[in-house]
Amino acid sequence: MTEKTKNPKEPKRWLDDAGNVKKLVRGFYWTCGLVILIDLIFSIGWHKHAAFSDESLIEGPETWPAFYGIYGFVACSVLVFIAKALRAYKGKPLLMRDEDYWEK
Amino acid sequence: MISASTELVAHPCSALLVFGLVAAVLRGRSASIAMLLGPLLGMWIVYDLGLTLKGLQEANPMLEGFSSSLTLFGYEMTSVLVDKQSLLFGYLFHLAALIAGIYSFHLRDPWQLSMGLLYAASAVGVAFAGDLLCLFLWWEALAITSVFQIWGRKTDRSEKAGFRYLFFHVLSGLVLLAGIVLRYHTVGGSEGFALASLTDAFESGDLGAQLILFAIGVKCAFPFLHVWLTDGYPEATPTGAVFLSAFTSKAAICILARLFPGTELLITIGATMAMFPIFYAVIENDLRRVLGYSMINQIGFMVVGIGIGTELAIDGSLAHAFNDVLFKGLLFMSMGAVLYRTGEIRGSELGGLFRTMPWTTGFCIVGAASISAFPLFSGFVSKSIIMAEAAAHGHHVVWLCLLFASAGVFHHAGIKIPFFAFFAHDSGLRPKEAPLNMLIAMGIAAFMCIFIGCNPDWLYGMLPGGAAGYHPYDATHVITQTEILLFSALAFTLLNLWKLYPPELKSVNLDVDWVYRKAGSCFLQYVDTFWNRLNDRAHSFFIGKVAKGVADFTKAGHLRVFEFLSDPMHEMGLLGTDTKAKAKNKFRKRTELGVHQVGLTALVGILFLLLFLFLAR
Repeated sequence: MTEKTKNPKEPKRWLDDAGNVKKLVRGFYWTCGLVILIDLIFSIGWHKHAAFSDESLIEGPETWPAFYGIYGFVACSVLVFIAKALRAYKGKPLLMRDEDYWEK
Repeated sequence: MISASTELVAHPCSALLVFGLVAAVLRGRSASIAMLLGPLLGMWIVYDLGLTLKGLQEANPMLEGFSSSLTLFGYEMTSVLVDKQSLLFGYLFHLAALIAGIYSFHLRDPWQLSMGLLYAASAVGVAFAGDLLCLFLWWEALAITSVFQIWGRKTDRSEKAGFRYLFFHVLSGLVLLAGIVLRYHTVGGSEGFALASLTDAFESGDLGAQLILFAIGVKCAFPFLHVWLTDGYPEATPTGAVFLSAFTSKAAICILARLFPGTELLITIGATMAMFPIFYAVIENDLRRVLGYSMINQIGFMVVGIGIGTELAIDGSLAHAFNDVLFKGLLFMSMGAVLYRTGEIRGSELGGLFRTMPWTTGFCIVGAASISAFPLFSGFVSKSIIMAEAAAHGHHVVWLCLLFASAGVFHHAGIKIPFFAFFAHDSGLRPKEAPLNMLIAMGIAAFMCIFIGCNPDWLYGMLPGGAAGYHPYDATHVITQTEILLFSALAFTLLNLWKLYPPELKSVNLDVDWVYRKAGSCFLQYVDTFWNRLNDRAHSFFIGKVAKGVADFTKAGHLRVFEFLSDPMHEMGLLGTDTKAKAKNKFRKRTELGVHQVGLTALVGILFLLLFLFLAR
């Protein structure tokens, strides 16, 4: 184990500055907006391939602009909230146990 | 399948086998060098087999492969089958063994090293197995050689986890054997051992085929049979997890694609596998266990592809298996480096390591981008084949599930792993950068991930069907995929900023293993207290009381009888003229020694005879 701990005199990294992190996050928001814009332009100006070949309920929405963005955002939020509920629901632990649970 | 028969100079896995044995004998750096020579030589053998196949195919374009057989105990075994699929996995397993060999170059444990190569050899054996009998032999070897990567950690926990791991794999081997024997009895002859599609047999309810699918399902980590993976892999050594992640499940996928292409049930199983582990992965604290869950999720995609069963879908599954070995190996390597340097792998205790481990951070991000299927990274060119085929064949719900799983995998493997290990809060740990050999191994895997992502045709050319007609880089696909990934990341960012994201906590989560680790041990305790107490009671009554009484009686019973008779006999004058007490004492002694006066003995004898006469009347 060559574990070393923080040296108070160590140089500050670019990411240690909260302002830079904020810049990164802001840049990321702009990228998201840009991709949606590209999707919009592409959907209107060109033809988007549908993943489904037959007439189905999903076929329409699937080609809408931003469908994938919304789906990804909602899916991840749902994922996190369900996972949190699986850990403990209304204060009662469901799946989560102490670290030494198996050794007890 | 149209195939020719030829004589082979060497089995494709022989280089790995020989160098595995060599690595067991050698010590120090020479053993590590053997770890590199074995896979390199093996790769050359596989390349040579590829050339032979190409030559045969030029002569006969209809030919799909060739095989070599040997006769053992009167059975003709197809020991090696060479076709495009087995060559693909042959290359893959040798490449994985080489990368893992470089990664463990610093290691000085002959057990782990030699078993690592033998484990790789078993996986190559499975990939090239020509019939079910051969498959069984390699299948068992796969189970036994792999467990040493877990036991190598030499802790109480890893020892127990290794035994639990072994239990599942031995079970898989036994069930496979039972399935093969049943198939042999129902079909008979050499057909019974043939490594041909069992889909029809399975769907018509053949028990043999069902058992074989179950056995493969254990190694593929089907739901409820998956705990060996999430239980065992995180307990392995830093280098061991890299070996483990490469071989077992991918060898199983290779066989699943051969035996059960187009089995409807697999679509449901695969979609379940892609879905449920992501919930666990979000709340899991052990980062290598997170990777274990994401591995089940990725295998789920492959199982769906095999279940759809079209040539393109199966190509997608095989390509994804190929890529998964590289990017999952890369992620396991980066986490292994963290564990090796800090001795810690819990997300709650890590963070801020990018400061002193920049290369490892970079490689981890490449692995994360590949598993998340970012354009220009390897996952993008293989996962999408499966998704596209699911959509094209009208599996709407499954498609939505897979899309959910794609977003989820980015969320937990793509962001969570690098974020909590290398960024997030500053844990104050300042470990050294990973050793050079680890960096080289990660570099090779990272290069392969980007290379395949940018040159998908290189990988497609090795697939059995060549992924004919599929083009990953069309504008719609690139835009939609980037969009779903970025918005998943947006959800992560916002939930984190709003403090809604579940923090990493020192904890464990219950999984199916609760059934045997807790309920099972409660059952054992009940059996122990109830039956063992019953046993103790029965023992003290029957052995302590009844049997002792009988023994005492047979030992001293006649004394009591004679003691009881001595008074009346004295009164009758049969015991001489001594006082009553003295006569009794003398009589007792004589009885103990078994010597009585002649007259008395004669009297008793006569009495017995009279009794006999009376009874026999």
